[in-house]
Amino acid sequence: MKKHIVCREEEMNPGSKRSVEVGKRAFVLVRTPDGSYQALRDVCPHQGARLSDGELTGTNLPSCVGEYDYGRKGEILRCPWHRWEFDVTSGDALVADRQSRVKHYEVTVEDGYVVLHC
Amino acid sequence: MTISQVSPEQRETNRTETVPIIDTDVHERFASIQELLPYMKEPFLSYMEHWTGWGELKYIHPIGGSKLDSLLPNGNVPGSDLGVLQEQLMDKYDIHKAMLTGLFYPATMEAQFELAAALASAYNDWMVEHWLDKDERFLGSIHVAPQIPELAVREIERMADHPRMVQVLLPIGTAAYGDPFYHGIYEAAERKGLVVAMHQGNSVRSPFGQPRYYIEWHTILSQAFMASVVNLIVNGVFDKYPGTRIAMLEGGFSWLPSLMWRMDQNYKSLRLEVPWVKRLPSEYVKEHFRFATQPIEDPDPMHMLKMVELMDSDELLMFSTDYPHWDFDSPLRSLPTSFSKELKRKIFYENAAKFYGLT
Ligand code: FES
Repeated sequence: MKKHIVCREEEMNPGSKRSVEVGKRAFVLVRTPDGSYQALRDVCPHQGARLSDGELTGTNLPSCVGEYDYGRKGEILRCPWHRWEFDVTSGDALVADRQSRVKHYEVTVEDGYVVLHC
Repeated sequence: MTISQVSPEQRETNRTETVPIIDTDVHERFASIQELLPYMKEPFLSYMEHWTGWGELKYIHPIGGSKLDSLLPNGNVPGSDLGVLQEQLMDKYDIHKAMLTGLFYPATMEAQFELAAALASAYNDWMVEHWLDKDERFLGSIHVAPQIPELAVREIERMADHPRMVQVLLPIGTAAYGDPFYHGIYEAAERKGLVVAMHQGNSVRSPFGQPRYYIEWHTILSQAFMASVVNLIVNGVFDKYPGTRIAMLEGGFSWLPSLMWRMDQNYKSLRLEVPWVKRLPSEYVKEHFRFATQPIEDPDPMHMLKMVELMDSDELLMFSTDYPHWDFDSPLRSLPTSFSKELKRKIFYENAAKFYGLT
């Protein structure tokens, strides 16, 4: 794992995402509403769409029949194609499948810079 | 008192001066649906981003109907910009030929059928001018109003001579197109050398009526295709018009093996009811039908390969993307990894080329 400076901390608002390229590899960098930074590989494991073209959103959590419980706002990355939902804090799809994990990368903040470990 | 006792002026004056009025029906309106948003919360607030009203499609799409990278900056409907479609689909994936199937289907109008025919004609002229004539890789579908078969036949005859019109499009919805009422359409298509394409329409329902949820509706769509395959065969379409070729679009195919088994089984016992059907129904399927792959299911890839084996033919499938919709199948990644190179070549190219008579 090498460290790559992506941007200054204040360049990303909570609840936003951006695509980042390091060499030939593409990542999607997310700042969640609570201020933490997360990074995933920018390729959907299903059919290969760019996740950074998707929506950073919340979702309907498992609930009782006929009820809706919306939560996890800004922590779910929804693929632009078939809308599989990925937890940005782990890279796991909300519906597990044999091809449903996206590689998750550590991101730290060092001296005011957002640093991607990849 | 009779009205004739009062002059018109008096009537006006008397009414307003003497009696306050209660009007029991006045229509206030919002200028835009956006005005309701401050009064809504999640999850339905997000649904409203996909609001198109409730029309033929009875649902507000829970996740949006298009792939998000096909959304246009000017807010126009995805698929309406020729340049973007060429770039995102034709060039990106090196598509040799693409059948344009539209998404404007007056064929499903439930009233005003003469208007439906006029709309279909207008659409055909528009599509030729703005799409077919703009890119040689496009092949066209003739839209018709089957609600008045004679007008549909006239439209087929009007459009069929365009060198890149390859099919007549009938949306699968609530009509049983095998019914003799529609047979003139097959006669015209056969005479003009056209395929008849049947594409999923938004008016499809389940046997119980309108499903309560979009996920339910989208899952049961293939039932309408299954019903249509049986309906076309038992009504003798292929016996009357043996040159008929049917392309089934966006209805899936993994249900086909069991449908063929069940039809054949029933045929052995019940043939006498439809004596014009002279061969096993599965033989009609293999000869007259082809099925587009999208939306391809993604079970264990080996199971999918078995499914093709169970179809007893590797010539029945033709690749499709459904661009620009949310359930788009990527030419790069959607066919199962278990499919051989040769099978993929057939699905990507050869089966359709043969069926449509393309070189
Ligand atoms: S490509 Fe991402 S969900 Fe299908």
